[in-house]
Amino acid sequence: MVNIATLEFRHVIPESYFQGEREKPEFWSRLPFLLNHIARKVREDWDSFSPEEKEALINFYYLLIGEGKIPIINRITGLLHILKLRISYGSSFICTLNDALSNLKYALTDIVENSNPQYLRDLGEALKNIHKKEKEITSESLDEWFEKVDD
Amino acid sequence: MSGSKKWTIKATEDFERSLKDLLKNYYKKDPKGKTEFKLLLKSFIEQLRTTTLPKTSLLETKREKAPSKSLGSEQLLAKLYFKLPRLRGSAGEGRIIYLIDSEKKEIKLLYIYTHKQYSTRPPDKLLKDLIKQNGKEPGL
Repeated sequence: MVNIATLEFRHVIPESYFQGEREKPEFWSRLPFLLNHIARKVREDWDSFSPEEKEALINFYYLLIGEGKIPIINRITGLLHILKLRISYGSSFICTLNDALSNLKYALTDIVENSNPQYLRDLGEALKNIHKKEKEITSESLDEWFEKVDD
Repeated sequence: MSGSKKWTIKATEDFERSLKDLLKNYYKKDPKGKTEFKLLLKSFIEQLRTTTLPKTSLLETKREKAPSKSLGSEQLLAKLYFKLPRLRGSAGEGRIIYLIDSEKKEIKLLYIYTHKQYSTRPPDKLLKDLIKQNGKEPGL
């Protein structure tokens, strides 16, 4: 299995990013920028990734949503690393990092879903039936509507 | 997109059917989860009355690609991403597809599903197909 950590995505990431070594603090401070940059590239130009990068990104997506198995030792070191980043850059940095990870996650989820023919069929069907029976949901009728659906 | 007048919210038959399936598949044996989910859905619907593309810590919305020529100039397709309460992995990744009609000031809920319905962790073959697909949007 290709691991995202082993790839550098040099064709989508500005060369300047690699001028900072991993050991240098600026490498990590720019991580949200890197993730957002990859997310934008995923949305706009999925084709520019190599097969290995695509596989690594999709594997990474499934790890992000909790599908893959992460060895306990990696979980611990990951948590320690986040703690270190929290101490070095503050809680707002962790929020920015979290937003960037979410951004990449949504970009990848769309790639996976839009590549599924069944999803496209179901979406097409939902759009085709758009003018068929519909119900207005007011604030007052919301509970009653939900109960009826759940009946 | 938002104005002083509130937006009208409508649910299509397909939305109701998909919601029914979701409740049956994931919350039949979990009344607590169902209650949490109901509260989340209610809060989302109420937010839509004033903000058509809400973004909070619990949910995120983005424009969704629509099949070409399927929408009018005043219409926009949107996808809401949210976490389904008490579910993990692909099953916990909830989505709602809805249509924003600016002319009628109306929002139609079209479809609710979980990521699990369209892909669990892809088997190697699917993964390979996806990688080969060159990122082109398949036609409907």
